[in-house]
Amino acid sequence: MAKVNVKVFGVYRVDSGVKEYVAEATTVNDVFTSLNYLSKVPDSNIHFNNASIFVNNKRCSSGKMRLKDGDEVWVMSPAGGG
Amino acid sequence: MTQYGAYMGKVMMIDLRTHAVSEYPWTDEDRHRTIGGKVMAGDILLRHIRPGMTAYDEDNWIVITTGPLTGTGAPSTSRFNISTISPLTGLITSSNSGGDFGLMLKRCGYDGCIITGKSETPVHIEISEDEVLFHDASELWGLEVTPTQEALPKGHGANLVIGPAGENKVLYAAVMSGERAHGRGGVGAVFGDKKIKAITAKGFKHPTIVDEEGFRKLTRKWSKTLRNHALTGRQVPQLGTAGLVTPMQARNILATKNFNRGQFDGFDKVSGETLAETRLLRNSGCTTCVIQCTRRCEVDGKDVKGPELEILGLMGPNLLNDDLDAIIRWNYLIDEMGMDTISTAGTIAFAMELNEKGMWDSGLEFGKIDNIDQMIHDIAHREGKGDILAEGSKRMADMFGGEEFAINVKGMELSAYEPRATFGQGLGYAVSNRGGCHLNAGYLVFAEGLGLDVNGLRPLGKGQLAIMFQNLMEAISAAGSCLFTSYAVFPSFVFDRPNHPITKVVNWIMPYLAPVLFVLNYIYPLLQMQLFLIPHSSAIHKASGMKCTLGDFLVAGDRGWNTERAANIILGQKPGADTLPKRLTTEPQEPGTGLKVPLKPMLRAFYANRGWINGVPTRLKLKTLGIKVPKGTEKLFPGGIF
Repeated sequence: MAKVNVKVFGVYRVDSGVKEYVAEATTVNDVFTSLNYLSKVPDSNIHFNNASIFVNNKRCSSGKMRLKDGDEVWVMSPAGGG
Repeated sequence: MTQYGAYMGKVMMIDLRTHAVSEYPWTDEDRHRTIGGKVMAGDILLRHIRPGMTAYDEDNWIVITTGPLTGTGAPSTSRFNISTISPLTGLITSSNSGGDFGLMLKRCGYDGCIITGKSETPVHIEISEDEVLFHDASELWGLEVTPTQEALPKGHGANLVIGPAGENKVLYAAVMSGERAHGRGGVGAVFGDKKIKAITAKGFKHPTIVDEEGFRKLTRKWSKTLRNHALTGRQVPQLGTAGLVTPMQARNILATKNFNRGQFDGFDKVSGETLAETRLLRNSGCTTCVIQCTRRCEVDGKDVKGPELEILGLMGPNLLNDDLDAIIRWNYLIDEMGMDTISTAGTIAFAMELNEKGMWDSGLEFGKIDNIDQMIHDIAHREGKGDILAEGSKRMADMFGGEEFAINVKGMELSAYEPRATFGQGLGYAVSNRGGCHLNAGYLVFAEGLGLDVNGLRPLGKGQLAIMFQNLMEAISAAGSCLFTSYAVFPSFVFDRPNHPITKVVNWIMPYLAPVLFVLNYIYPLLQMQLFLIPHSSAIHKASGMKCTLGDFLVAGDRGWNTERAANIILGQKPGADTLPKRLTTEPQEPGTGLKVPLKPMLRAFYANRGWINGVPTRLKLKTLGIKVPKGTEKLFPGGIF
């Protein structure tokens, strides 16, 4: 397991009340388990398919992507409206 | 008069020289061709303008137009438009807002209002169902926006007013309708030049709805779709447009330090999330809107309209500023002065860089914000160095140099999207008829990361996609609808599930649809159908009884785009005007994508699909769309196909 820094943005952050935390995760998919646990939304179900994910400033296209210590994972809700 | 519902059937013409009020001839055939809004205004202006005409000519018309859906109760349809010759660009500008004036103009029995001539003294024009009155507004002259509105007679209905910036002809002065701004292109300066301090309207008429039951059924379903959509039902109501700061940061799109780069370390301090968590009083919206994107914030104990994305980005990262309270205050202050937030911010950023490079001592520095309040005031009143900033970045570059980093197109400052990470948006900026506008551009950044996830770093297909988006948005605007309703044109699924295989296929395949779109962009008239994902055309048909298929709707959008371009050519737009500041096409974005905007190939594809030669519509193209240019100007348009 790697220790990664998770930052949450968009509606997911405002709804869940989770802004930033350190997670233990092997893959990107693992991040969502802890995020849903920390969320103040009952039955929170944020997962890879319904979020835009960036790892170390790059768009992540697979939930199976392996993480390493010190990685920064951004979890963002769908965006739009300018 | 009209045989159609939804329309009021009259367009009023006011001559400020004589105070004569007449009816402008506008036929049902015109209604069908243009739908309304900015397409209608463009058509009216094209009939009137002549080569050499400028913004401050006595005969420059201000054309205020509504759409057929304005005032019908369809969701998010309180939009109305003001078009005129822009003092900032010298070309046609159209500026749109969701203020109540458009609704009230229709309730007075008018679909539009044309104003010509100049008043000798400040004037308040009062429009009602029966008459138009002209009041001396000398006592209002000099007042800021809210004091002006408060000084108008009680129960005046809806208003359009200017602040000090309009009076002093700041080239990017706005016209305010309530709290809503017609910001872009300096329509407020044209009001100021004509000495129009305020226009009020109050009436009680309502447009008839031809197919009442069908229309209500459709609008109920449409409202439900908007309320349940990932963007219009959740993201935008909760975070407003401010919610884009973070995704723009993630994708190197957030204009930073006068478009030097696309990311800012302090972005989260000015993000939509922080705004929602720490400053938001509540959200609100325009009349009839189900989306409710407006942020309400507090300034000096007052509950005021909060900042949108553009000012958060352009007065935040683009000035290297992370003070959210300052941005909220500036947003209010710029509105009170009656100025365009985008051009104000863009001009300040340019003045900062001129100063940094030692080219002009503007007194403004990146990251230093203690003199911005004063500068906003000075711009609006044309005092001190503010008098120079009131001219906008293009004219400042003419005075001091720095054209390559004067971030404007055709004289109008760019919105907050850094195009070296969103090539399609870069193309859109370059070709936009009114100048550096993200919306007139076609808003391809929405497809390139801020909604869909089409690769924004490739030029493939962007010319064709831009045309499709531009025409659709032009038509939606003509209908009187908010452009945010266009988000629901795409099924919620592709936003709710950005990593789902189906969404990935959609994003991947869109650029490769270029040949299909190329053909489609030419055969709109064949689309004799309705599509529920684009309910606007069906709503127009049911409300008005006028034939309005999806094809008719898109043709009107195409016609609007070409009409404005034809008008611009007559007003003197030169070949090569469709371009970007050199910083964006010659300097790689570092740090960031390491790329510059590959404008030329996209421009070639765009022109070919538009049916233009070097940015000029051919006579055949104009004829195909039924666009007639004034006699004697035909020679400005090349013959042939393209």
